[in-house]
Amino acid sequence: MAKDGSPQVSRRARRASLNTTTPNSKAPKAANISQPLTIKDLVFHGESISLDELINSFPGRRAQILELVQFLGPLNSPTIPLFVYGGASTGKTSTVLYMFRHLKRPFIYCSCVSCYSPRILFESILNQLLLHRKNESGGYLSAKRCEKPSDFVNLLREALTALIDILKGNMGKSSSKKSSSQVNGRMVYLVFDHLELVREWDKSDSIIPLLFNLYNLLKIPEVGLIFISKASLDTFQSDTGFVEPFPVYFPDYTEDDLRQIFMRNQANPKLYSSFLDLVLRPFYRITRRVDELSTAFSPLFKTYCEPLGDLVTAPSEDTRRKLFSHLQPFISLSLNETCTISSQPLIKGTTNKDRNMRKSVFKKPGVCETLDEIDFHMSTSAKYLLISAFLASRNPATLDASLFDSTGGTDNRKRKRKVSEKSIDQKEAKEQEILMKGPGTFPLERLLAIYQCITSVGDYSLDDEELQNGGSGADGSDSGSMSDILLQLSSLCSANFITKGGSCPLEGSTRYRSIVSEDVALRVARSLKFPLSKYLYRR
Amino acid sequence: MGVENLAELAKLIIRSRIADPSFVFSFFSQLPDSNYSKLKYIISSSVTEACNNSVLLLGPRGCGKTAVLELVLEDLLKEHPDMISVVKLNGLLHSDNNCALKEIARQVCLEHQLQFSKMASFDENTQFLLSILRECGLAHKTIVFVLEEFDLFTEGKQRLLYSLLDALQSVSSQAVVVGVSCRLDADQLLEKRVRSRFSHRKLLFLPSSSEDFQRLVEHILLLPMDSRLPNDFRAAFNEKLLNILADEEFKGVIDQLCYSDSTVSQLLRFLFCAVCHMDLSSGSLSIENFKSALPSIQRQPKLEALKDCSVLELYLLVCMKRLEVKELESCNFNSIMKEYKSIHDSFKTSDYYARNVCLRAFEHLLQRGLISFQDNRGQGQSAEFRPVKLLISWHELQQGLKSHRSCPAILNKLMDREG
Repeated sequence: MAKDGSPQVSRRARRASLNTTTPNSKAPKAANISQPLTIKDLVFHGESISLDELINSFPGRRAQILELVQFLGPLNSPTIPLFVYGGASTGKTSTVLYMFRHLKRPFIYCSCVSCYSPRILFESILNQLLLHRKNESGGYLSAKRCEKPSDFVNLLREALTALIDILKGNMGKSSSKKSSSQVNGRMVYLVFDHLELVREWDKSDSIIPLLFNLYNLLKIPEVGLIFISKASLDTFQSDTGFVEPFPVYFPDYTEDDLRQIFMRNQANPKLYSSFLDLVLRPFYRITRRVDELSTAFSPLFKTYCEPLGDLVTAPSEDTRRKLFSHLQPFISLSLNETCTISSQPLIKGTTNKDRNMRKSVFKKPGVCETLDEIDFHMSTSAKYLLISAFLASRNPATLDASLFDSTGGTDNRKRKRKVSEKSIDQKEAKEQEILMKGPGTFPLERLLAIYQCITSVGDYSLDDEELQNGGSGADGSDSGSMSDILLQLSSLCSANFITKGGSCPLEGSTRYRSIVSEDVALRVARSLKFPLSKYLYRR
Repeated sequence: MGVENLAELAKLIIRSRIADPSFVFSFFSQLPDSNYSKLKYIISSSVTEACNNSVLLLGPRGCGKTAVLELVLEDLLKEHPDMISVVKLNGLLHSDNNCALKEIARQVCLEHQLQFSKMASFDENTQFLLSILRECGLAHKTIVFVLEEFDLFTEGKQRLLYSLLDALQSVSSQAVVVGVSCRLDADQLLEKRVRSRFSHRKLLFLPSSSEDFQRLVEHILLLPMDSRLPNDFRAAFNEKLLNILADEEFKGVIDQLCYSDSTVSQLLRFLFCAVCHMDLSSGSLSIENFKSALPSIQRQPKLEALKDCSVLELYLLVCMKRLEVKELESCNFNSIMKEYKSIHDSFKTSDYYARNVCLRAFEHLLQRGLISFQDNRGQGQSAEFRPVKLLISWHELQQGLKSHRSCPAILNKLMDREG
């Protein structure tokens, strides 16, 4: 398990770096590939920790840790299956794994994220139990091939009895080993993580009752089962039910717990504490998840510390006031943002852009600021294709002829109509319909037709640039390599700008749907200097 | 030994008893005219009289059908050694015909020390089964086929059931088929030709009465004569326990437990939780252990999820509720945003956030299981347009808002007005 167990563990340690003390286990030593696994690899690596250290590592989780430790009980005591559930980012997995560090009992961990089908799940568990490591000499194969649940239960029973015999033999030996490699007891615990994903598998009807009934099927008292899930037990539907494990609930953190968590490992506690006083309460109203809060706090803290000369001394009262007034506009801006990932500009020399961004930052709070620049890069033909898809989804098909006729047709549309009560109601109803139904679907032919129309219009307006670029921009539509357009279309589909809908059985061709929002389409059009608003159908 | 060590030992003993179903259900074997005795009679009579038989054990999950069957088989194996061989199949694992026959062949080979070939085909396994039945019939040995999750075997063409029950009809074979199912209408699921070969014998396992529960609790919790425990500690423990069990409060706790689920497995989980929380320093169980175990086992997940929601998520829920009250056919994220904006405009709340933050809160609500998409078909649509529905009722939402730590007063007002 040195290979499989500890990289997962160090990943958890990194993710929970805000939750734990500085891990005193060093980075996992690169395990010698040819060394076979032993039962020592089934135990959590590193120094054993006491119960108090465990509770201190997880602020706000004292009750849950004590409950779990009591359920697992003294050494070699059988236990009923446990079901640990709670919201995301509440520390379920890290608490369970670190509890095994405290107990130093052998356990098997498998996550339904990496084991995304029954076969991979079964084989992963069997590999760990049989102390088998996938290596080059074996062709990276699992120890046993196992696809069917019946094979799985038989092989699991064999592997467990073999492992428990080894553990019993180990118990007989003297226990004068170092604490870091000690293996306690003769019970093996199976930890299944992310169980809520199993509900979406194909064979979930049989896999979910199988996993929950596993304890009864095996009839081995030396096995303990722990299930970890984000969803509670009542969301696991089954026709005839299953044996229910015992629920242990991990509630979300309260504000005080969050403060304790964020105060860990801070270089300057007083400074960070005054920062938290400002930001924790407003952000707590939006979300309580540690991961989302930490991604929001780290850039804010950097901005907070900007005016400070040194970051070591504790701030005085007026320093705090100064920092507060500096931070204030950024808080409200950050409240309305989710995670932002800035993309790298391809062309350097963006001083203009920086100035623009600085200006746009100080808009009124509560409104998400849209920059005029799009922050992704696309070829011109792809941009045109995106705009045509957007138009095809927004406008009804009957309007195409009038919108895209040879005059670049915008005059026919603005028919003056008398504004009557009925038409206002109709308009509202139609708006409600757009809101509910969303963008419409269109067949491929319509998309290509609109694309041809737009690019020919674009040709006329891009005349000056065309002369400069030597007509490279307009070539794409004329020489009409259809495969090029279809390639662009499929890359737009995989980038989730356009989705491929189900096909209508009468027509037989696939239909597409554009799912970009209006402001993204406007920005793309603006970058092409394309008058999008003229072509949009406003009811 | 100190009190704590003794208490820990007592805890260990009780825990292993609770986790051992054969110990728990041996209590039921002592009752007269129980399912245990009936089942034992059926199987033993077919063993001694060399006839074929089939029986169904029906009852809700956790009532002890499999455990009682195991006890019966254990006792019969002691009484008639070498005359019974057992083959166990489970509907979760072996509902496919090929799997089932392979498993039967494997278990028979294991028992009779024959060599089992994994590569044997379906026909070969069928031939093997028939020949084994014939051989055992000649040797006056009864094979007991235990089919757990019987209702799962009735899916599809029921070929396995037909071949098993058909084999029972021949004179040369001696077999008993015991089906265990939690569906009370399991025999209605059988095809006509299979049902005609099935003797309509059914044993019903029902949840026990509360007096039986009381005696079962005593049977499990009272410490036995054990060499590791000194007599005075054992006597003191048992006496304190009997006092608790006679208490009215305890009876109330058990009644409340049985309101929702009165099966034995629920009782076992409850006792396990109570015993795990036993205070080692006092050296015995107390009524507090039982009272605190009750809410741990009877959870209200939707209310817990509501209490964990952030303020923005509560806003979204209240908006959805208002839309539902306005009797719109279905709502999606866009209409919720419109309602959210109208609330902000009319009440000038301070909690008005941008669309993408609200979308993230919306996704949190989906994860928590408080709302869900109405259909699975609309995969092509983005999350903003798919219709959603609330999974909690108005009453639950109100309860959740009231018990929420920092719910803004405006939300309570909005809920009350619409209610």
